[in-house]
Amino acid sequence: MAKERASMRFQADLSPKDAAILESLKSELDVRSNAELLAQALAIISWLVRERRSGHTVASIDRENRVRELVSPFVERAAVEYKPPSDQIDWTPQELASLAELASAEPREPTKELVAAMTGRGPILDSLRSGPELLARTEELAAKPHLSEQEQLEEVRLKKLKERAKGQMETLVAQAKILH
Amino acid sequence: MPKAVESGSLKKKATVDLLICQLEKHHIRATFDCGDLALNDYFRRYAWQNQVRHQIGATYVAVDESQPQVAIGYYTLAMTEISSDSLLELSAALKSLPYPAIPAVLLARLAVDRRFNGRGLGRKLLADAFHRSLQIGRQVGCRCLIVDAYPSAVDWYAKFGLIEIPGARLGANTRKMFVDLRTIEKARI
Repeated sequence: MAKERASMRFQADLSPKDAAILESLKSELDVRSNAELLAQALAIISWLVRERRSGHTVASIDRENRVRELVSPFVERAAVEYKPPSDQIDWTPQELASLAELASAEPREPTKELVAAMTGRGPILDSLRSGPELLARTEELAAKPHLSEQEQLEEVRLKKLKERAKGQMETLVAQAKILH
Repeated sequence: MPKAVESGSLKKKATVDLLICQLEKHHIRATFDCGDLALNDYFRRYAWQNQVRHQIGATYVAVDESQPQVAIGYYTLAMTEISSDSLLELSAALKSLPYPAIPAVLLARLAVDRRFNGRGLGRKLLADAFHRSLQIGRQVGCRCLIVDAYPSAVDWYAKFGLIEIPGARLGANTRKMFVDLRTIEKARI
């Protein structure tokens, strides 16, 4: 009778970061081989899956009785209640009637807040509008031989604003290209 | 049920160097906390799966430039359509429109981490969602944007031109809101 193979060879490529974690765990848990660690990991994962399949929640409780639930999309696939939430909505007949009226009417004028949001009026564009003052202040700071801590912070902030404004201008140009 | 919330504080706080991009695997979701269990739970457990595995909703995240891997706000967009079979019975005006259905973008969720409330993140996320909806509308054809909002967020959305759709079920914990994409287009010009 042919002898049954008792074990399966297993080979895995790990990133340097994962390899370091593996070695650290082996050391901390006093595990001598990768196979032993893998066997333990399998046992723990199997337990997690069994618990979630039974509808149980897996959590840790600290000394102050604060509960931290284990949230892992990977394990959630085994959960009995697993059903990805739908992104569709139910309508009542009254809501449909109201929607019909709204959809068949002429579009309303945008609100001031909507215009402000859509035209990007906010801290960044506001800073663009006051660009000349900011530029003058940047030059003023650049001309100083020594900067106080406060001035150093201001200089960094101005540089950041300049970069963000540049990024926003590029975004606006890109959006204009897409839309026209 | 899809929900949307924006809780803001009026306190003046330090601004955030914000980037908004599509959810990627490297974004840290486990620490996200907007104060609403359903919105936290969706983002932590399902947003990635719904986007990549099931492809039924796309999630966009706000990150601070200084910590670009940590999501501090998000919104989810999905496509939806409202069958005009039922609408035609309800509106004489719609009878003149030859639509088999009204295609709409659904802003399924919008939430900001409560540690970043009061810094305009919700407004920026909403503006980003509007811009994307316009692009979607131009590319595939779409009429309006629908939000299913918590009652506490209705006034906030109304400021941006969303109109509450009357007729919610008694005891419903959300209110549907509507904005015509042409209104958003007008605001952009």
